[in-house]
Amino acid sequence: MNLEPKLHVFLTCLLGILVSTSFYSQSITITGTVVDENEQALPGASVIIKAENRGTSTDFDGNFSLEVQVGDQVTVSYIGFVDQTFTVGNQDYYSITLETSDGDLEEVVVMGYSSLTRSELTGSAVQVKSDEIGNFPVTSADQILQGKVPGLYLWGTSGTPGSVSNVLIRGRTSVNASNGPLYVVDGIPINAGNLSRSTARSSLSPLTGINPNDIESITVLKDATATAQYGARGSGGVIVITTKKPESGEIRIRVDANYGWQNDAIPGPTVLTAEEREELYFDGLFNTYGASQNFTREGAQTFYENNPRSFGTTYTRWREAGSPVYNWAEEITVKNAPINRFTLSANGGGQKSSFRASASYGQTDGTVIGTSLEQFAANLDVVFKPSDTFQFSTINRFSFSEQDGILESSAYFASPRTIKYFMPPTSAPYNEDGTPNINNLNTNIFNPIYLQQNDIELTQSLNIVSTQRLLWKTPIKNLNFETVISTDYTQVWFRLYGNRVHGGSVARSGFAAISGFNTVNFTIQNIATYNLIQGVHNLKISGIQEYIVNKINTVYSEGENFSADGLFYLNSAGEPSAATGTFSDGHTASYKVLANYTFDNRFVLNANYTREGSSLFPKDSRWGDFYSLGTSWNLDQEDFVRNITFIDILKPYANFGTTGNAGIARNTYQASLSFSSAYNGSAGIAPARFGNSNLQWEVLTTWEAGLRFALLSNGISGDFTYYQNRTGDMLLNVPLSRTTGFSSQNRNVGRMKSQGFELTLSSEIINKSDYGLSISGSVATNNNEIVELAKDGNGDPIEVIGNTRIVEGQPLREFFHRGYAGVDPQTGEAEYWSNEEQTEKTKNYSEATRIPTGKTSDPTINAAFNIRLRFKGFFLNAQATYAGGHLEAEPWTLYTRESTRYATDSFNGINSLLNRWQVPGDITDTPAIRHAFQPWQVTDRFVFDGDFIRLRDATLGYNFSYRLLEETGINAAQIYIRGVNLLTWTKDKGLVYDPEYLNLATPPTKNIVLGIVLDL
Amino acid sequence: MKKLLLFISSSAFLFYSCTAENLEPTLATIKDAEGSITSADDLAGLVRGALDQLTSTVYYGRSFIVSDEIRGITTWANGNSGRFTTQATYGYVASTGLGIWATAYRMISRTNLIINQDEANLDGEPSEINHYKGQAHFLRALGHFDLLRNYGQQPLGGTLGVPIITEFKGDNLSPARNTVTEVKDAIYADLDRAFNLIQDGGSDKQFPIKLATKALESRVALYFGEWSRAASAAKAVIDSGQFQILAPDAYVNSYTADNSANSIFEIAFNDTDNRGINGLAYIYRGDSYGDVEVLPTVLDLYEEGDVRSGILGYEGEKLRNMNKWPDNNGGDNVGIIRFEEIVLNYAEALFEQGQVDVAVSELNKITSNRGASAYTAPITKDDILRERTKELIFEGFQFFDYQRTRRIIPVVHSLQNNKTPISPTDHRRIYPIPQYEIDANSNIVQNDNY
Repeated sequence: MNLEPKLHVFLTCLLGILVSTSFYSQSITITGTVVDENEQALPGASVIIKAENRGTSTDFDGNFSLEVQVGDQVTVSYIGFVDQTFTVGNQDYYSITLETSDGDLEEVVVMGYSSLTRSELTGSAVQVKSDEIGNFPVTSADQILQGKVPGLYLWGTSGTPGSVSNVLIRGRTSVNASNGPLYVVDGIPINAGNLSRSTARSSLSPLTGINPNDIESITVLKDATATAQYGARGSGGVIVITTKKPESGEIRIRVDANYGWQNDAIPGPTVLTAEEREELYFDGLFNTYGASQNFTREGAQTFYENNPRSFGTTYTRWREAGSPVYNWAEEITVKNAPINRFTLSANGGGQKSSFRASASYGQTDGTVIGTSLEQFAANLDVVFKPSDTFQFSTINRFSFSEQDGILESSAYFASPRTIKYFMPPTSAPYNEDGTPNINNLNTNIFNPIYLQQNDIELTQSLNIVSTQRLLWKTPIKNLNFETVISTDYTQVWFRLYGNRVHGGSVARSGFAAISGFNTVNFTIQNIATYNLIQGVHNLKISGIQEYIVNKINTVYSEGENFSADGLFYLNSAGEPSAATGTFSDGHTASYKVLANYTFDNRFVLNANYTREGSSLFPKDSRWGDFYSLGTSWNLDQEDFVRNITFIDILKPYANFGTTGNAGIARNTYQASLSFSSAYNGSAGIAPARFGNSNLQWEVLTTWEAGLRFALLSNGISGDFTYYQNRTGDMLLNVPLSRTTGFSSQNRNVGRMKSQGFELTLSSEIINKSDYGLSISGSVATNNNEIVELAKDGNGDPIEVIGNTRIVEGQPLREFFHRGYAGVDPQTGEAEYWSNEEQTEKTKNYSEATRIPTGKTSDPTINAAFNIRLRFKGFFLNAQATYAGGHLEAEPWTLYTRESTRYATDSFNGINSLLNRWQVPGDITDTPAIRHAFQPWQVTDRFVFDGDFIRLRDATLGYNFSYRLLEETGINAAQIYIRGVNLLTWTKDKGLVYDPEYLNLATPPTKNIVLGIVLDL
Repeated sequence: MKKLLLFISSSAFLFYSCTAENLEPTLATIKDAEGSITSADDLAGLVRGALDQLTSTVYYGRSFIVSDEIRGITTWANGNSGRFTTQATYGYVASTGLGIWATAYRMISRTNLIINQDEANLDGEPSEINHYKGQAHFLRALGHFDLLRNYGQQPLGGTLGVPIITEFKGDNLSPARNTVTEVKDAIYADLDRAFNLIQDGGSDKQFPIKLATKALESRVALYFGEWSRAASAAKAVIDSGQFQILAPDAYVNSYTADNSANSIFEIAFNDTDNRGINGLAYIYRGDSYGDVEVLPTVLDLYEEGDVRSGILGYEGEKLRNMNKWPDNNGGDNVGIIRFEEIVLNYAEALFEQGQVDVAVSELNKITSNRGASAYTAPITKDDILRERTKELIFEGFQFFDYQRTRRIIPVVHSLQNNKTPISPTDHRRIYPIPQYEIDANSNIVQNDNY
């Protein structure tokens, strides 16, 4: 796209009016000391001449010296204290005592395009500040938000370092379009999707490129007036990440270092030992053949040994080898896997320019063999203020991540996580000479120890972002223009090698592949802001114009037939076997008007309008209009409340508005032909998409009403809010009759709704200078329901029925399994409910009835509890989170849990199988073991209540006092020990996998980290 | 001056207001369906696109063949990778979503895109255009037939077939099931049309040749017990002299060769198709999947010296199909119709019409090339069916032989996954219509007891 004509005019006129001003006059030097109420020196307090915005900061003893003119107003400020301003008189020494702030210093909430103070807000945006973000031992910055924001639920997809997390803000509002939030970093939307080039392997989050120590704040936008700034893309909520910015003043250098150890947060299910599995195997033989072949339970072993042609000799050989004990779970687990990160940063500068630079290196191993992540990130931000009129800032981020991943999204035979549960315990991990056993495994599963030594699954990701901002304070008072140009480039290089000796690439005699991906986001924003202050009226109005283009290139090539081991690149492949490449692009243009009006600091009105066009929709329906309106009343500013001394803040608020959702794949509206199929060595032509020439934005309409309050000198504060979401014109992937040759068509049809409340409460129970105690907590609910689905030609709703279902009147993807009724105590056979009331039983699975549950896999209640304790230099912070009201279905149970040959012969079972039915009269839910395979007969037997509580974070630390540090030249120092996911409680004891996600991926980790922070 | 500058700079904003045309997305790897099919060459591309569906893993690429083989009495599923135990135990329900429903209809929709093209708008020789249209008719017939024998109610005495689809993106997106007879007639009509349109003399068996239509017609007619139609269609193929029964020493190796003398229609696979783990070889043998083992009773089928037993072999203690499509990477072409089947069809059709002596001599054309004893009249239907099993084993025929003859599928060995005989009226002899179709199309009636 051609930039030039668009910027031309703006730049020309900017150049034409460059003005610079200088002042020359008589100056004197004053000195002084800044102390707190206890006469403790305050080092690092800033001392600024108000008119010139120039100044200095205090030294270790709280002393300062500053060149001033008589009559200058000088402001002394320090975080946590009330600012104090004095006028320079004849004296040259000033002793300043700052008073502790009682907290009503207004917090500025960064909303993305704009920033508002708390009292100017008309919604429930939540801002998490740097002190809660930095040094959190996670590999991806978004994971910090878990439990910090009511209404935001985050759960991992894997504990493999670097993996993508799922985030839902106020639940789901869409059936098929995106439900995830929009991520905005320093005002520029970013792509936050999975960077991994293989869906079968570990995922990689782009947020691994952002060092938490570089983050100043993360704001989560949930309500209509906040998300409406991102009108067309805000329906899943918005996560606004703001990095630390240059600050004028003395140059400060900071060092953050931590080192820790990770383990699986919970060990997961225990598998059968070889001895237990053998017992169950003979049990199965007896139950299946005992009667017809006339042998007893005790005679099963003899029967087995007499029929090696039918049953093999696995157990005979294992016995002959001396019944060795093999523990594959141990073999694939890395204990105390290291996690560490080291950050260096510097910040400072003068009146005309200031900078912040940082660099960090992180190294993390996964808790399963063959996984690790290296992260390198560097930032350089510089702000230039050549004059009062112009400000130019440049933000540059560079990051490089290298992830060693594994196959983990399914039960792959080469995945170490699969092996933990599936590998027969009769197979030895190693040969006698200590090499991995690959020739005598007696199973079709591979030895992951060998694969991790000889195969390669490596993803390298490079991200470069450069953003330039030019701010012009126009001659018209309070009218500013800003132009922003940003380039965000990501390149991913995924390298794969499968050896020719053992594993899935043997048939190809070795296999190598390279998958490359690059994407560039080019963003231009023009922002005009005007602030009209007239008496009690304060109007801030912004006009924003934005254009974003995204381009994606992919390339993939692979080859096979390697003639030697130890060569891993395509160059050595004898035969190329595939080569593909693709390109796609997406364009978004938008115009926004944001208005914030305050009357006498009492009444607030927010109004936003966005018109946005997207290349995802056809020309005629490309543009969508979105708006929002919000209002609040700062009752605490009213006289009749001001007189009530125990009320500090009392602010009812309400907002209403629409946002859009365009979370669908590119090029879905075009009826198109694909040329990528191949037959007999030539390309084939085939219909690609059904198309829909009327496709348009999915629209979410929301309203919210709430009350923010602070009582008893902020001793108790909180926020209560209730919201409703209504989704219309849903971008539904309407299932088509497959007789059409298509599986679905995207249509704007159907509606769904959701609602919930959120309550935050915090209390400073004790707040003394030497010690303090505060507690806080939050509860959030969310429930959704599908109101209307697409209809077929007969007017019948097109539902999706399976173990979860999508039907009108029920929550999205409601669990709908066939009902399991237990085991017949007389025969040991499984029984199922044949009616919804669960009164009639059947032994025939196909007669089993599906039971509505009203629940989904999304929690309907989330809660968090925090406690913060400090005593002198010591502090202790802890957070526990709860998620509940949802169900979780355990996967792969046919192989690991059912009473079949899979668990006793092909693979291995979980030790709950030991509870199997054996003799008439046994009461158990585990049927008699059979020497037979059965098809998938999924029931609610392995569907569990998902409720869990986690001690998410616990930190014990010590801040060194200035006196201790005085000799060292260090301004401030902190040491801490931090634990993540130390304890987990699950309500349903049947739930043996990690409650966050029940699959064969790496579970979340339990971390213990030691760290140090130095301020130089 | 101030105002002028402000005016100029503000106009920088307005300058953007006409960026709408910058929102047009690039179509880089696909083309707009409108106006992209302009020539006979494009039709050839569409034919390849339709054939590509036939090579799908769920269709002739693997599962269609294996699902039918494993429901007979030649193989069993060992649970190695958990594949095909559902079919082997007849354990499917509607939500299992088994079978070729989506894939076969996707192929049919692609053939309709060809057939629906107005030749007046296409560049190219009319005969060439017709040739491709003829191939599309053949594939549409094959698709409807495969659907009918998987989902149609005829084996259980019902009348419901499957929807006949003849339009690409037609008006009715929720079609009801046609009757079995209607579907059968549509198949015959397509085959006739295909016979008339396909040009003579094709030698690449990877594409439908003219006589493939007659060969398929004999299979369809045999399925419906229309003996005289089956016989005359088979005879047209036999009398053409274009095909030969493989010589004894060529039998085993023919499964690795392309365009063998016995091949009438085969689907093309090569190494760059990267079938690998999703191919036939990977499920029939090997340590990784290798789920489909051969029942020991199969050993008793063959006499000493029968070259067809050379297909069998052991991997450790496992009896295997070692030599039908042995390339573990899936590069072997898969024969869909071969001459020996047509000879067997002919023999059976003659037998059923009372021409036993001719039937015997046809059967003996097979045995004499296999190192097996010749038949002498009188013979029984069992003899013919057993000869079919011997010849066509692992190619997905036996289950349909049980179907069309309405015979009980017996239990012959303890390794068999299914532990009780399946009667001819058992509802599991036909597949349930997949749940995804029931969900999307309220005009579809589910088969009984699903």
